[in-house]
Amino acid sequence: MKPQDIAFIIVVMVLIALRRPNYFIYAGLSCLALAIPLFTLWVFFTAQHLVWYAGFFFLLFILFSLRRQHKVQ
Amino acid sequence: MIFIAVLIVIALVFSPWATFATLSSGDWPFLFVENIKEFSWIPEIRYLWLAPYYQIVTKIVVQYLRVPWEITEKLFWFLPFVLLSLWSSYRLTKSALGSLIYTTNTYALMIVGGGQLGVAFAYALAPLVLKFLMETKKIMLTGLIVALQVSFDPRITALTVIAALIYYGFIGVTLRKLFFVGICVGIAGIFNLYWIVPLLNSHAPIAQQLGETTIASIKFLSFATFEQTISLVHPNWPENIFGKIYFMQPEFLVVAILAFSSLIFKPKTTKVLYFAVIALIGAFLAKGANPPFGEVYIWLFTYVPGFSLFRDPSKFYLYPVLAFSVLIPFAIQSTKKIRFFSLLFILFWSFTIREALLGQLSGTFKPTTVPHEYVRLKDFLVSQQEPFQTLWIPERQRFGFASKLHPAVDARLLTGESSISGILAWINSKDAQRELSSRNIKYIVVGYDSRGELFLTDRKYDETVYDETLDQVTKISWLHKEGEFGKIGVFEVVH
Repeated sequence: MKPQDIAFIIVVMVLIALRRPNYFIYAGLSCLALAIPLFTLWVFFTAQHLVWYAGFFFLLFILFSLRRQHKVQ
Repeated sequence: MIFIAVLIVIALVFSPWATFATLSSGDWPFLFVENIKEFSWIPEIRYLWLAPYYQIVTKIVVQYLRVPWEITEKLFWFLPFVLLSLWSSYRLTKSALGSLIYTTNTYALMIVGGGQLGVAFAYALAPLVLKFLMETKKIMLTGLIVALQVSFDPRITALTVIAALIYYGFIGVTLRKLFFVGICVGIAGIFNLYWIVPLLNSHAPIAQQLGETTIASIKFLSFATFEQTISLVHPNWPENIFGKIYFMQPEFLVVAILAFSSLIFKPKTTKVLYFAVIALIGAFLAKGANPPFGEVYIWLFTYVPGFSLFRDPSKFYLYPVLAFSVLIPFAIQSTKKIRFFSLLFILFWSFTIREALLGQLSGTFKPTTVPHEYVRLKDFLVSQQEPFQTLWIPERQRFGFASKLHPAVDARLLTGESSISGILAWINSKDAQRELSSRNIKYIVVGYDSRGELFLTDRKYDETVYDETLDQVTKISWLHKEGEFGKIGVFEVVH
């Protein structure tokens, strides 16, 4: 496991603890935005992983939102 | 104003098609009138689901109405693709930006650029089919549209129907909705019996291909990476050379940022969440066996019946394309300066597809005229009434004439050799002359590679390979050079 992955897991755990779904979107969008300069500089490994993390953050947001919608119903 | 800007971009992208030259390239063929005269009035299994539109419409228009193939292909395929894609995506997205994204993204341009017009038509119909399936009204009309989409490419229909089923999962599955989909698929099945029944009763190439698909081939065909699929950039963009994969072009990530930023804005409707899920599913599957979790695709391929239809994972690009066509306009319309951001987006989008706007795309975007030597060769072959075959080294050039009376045989297939040097070694072997005679091969043809597809070194056309091939064939004692066909080498086999 690389340092990036450890940082990602920590961020995910913190965000889950905060229970604010919108934070997942901000985290995902930040990952994508951060990946742009890294791809430009050919830092492919970290850039690729950031995009994967972004996808996971969006997925978590959707799952949280659906759970909330279900509870409201 | 936005609408006009969108139309200008679309007109510029597809302007190379406004020509009297043929667009034949990649999978898109060139047909001589003699070829079209051989088409049957009954759908032929070799054309699969495309038979009625490709075979019968072409026969009527070219053979009876005497419209040249170069015009027919544009009037009945290329222009309708653009119009259908624009209209269909507008019906789903209710946005000119949505139509722009759906019609001019790199995936769509690579399909049409590669001449996969059947897939392209099914793709163009997908938003309309999805809209009708989501609404679950007008059952007969929906069934007919689904049937039409199946007749262009059933794999795209399968993806569209699955997308609709996922939507039902979001809003609540009911028996009525499932019944609606079932009836629509049933109608589509009935209208497509012309290819389903013969396919089930035959050993058509597609059935053999599906049977031969292995996990190794899935891994080979998984060209795209997750960062490409989630950003709507096709792995072969812009050159569209099969297997040549490019580094990630980071500007495309802005497209993903715009699409997923729609989740910030309120109201977060079920539709927005649904399309975000569709985008993620599509991006995940379109990368095939590549990481992360590439094993999932291999598992699906191994255990899910029918998944082998998707040995080329890029078909799943349909999902992020559909989703982004809805999400990006939604995000822009949620801002206070809609017009400003729309125009800004059109400018940015034009920058990402600049190769298309600057006329740098290849394939069908590079029209060409049929070399006159190929027309002469066609006339030469047609003038001979006895049946025989022609052997093409390394394979038949796209303008090379072949008919039922004079079929063309690809040397690669006959010899089982993939390299040109291997083919030449086979022809120089002592049994070759006897083998060719037994197969009634009268002529060996070294094609003039006007499209740069046959004589390649590192995927690029190499004139020296062509020259060496022609030189070696000329030296064979039992071959007699025939007539004058310019750069085409035609050699009669002396029996």
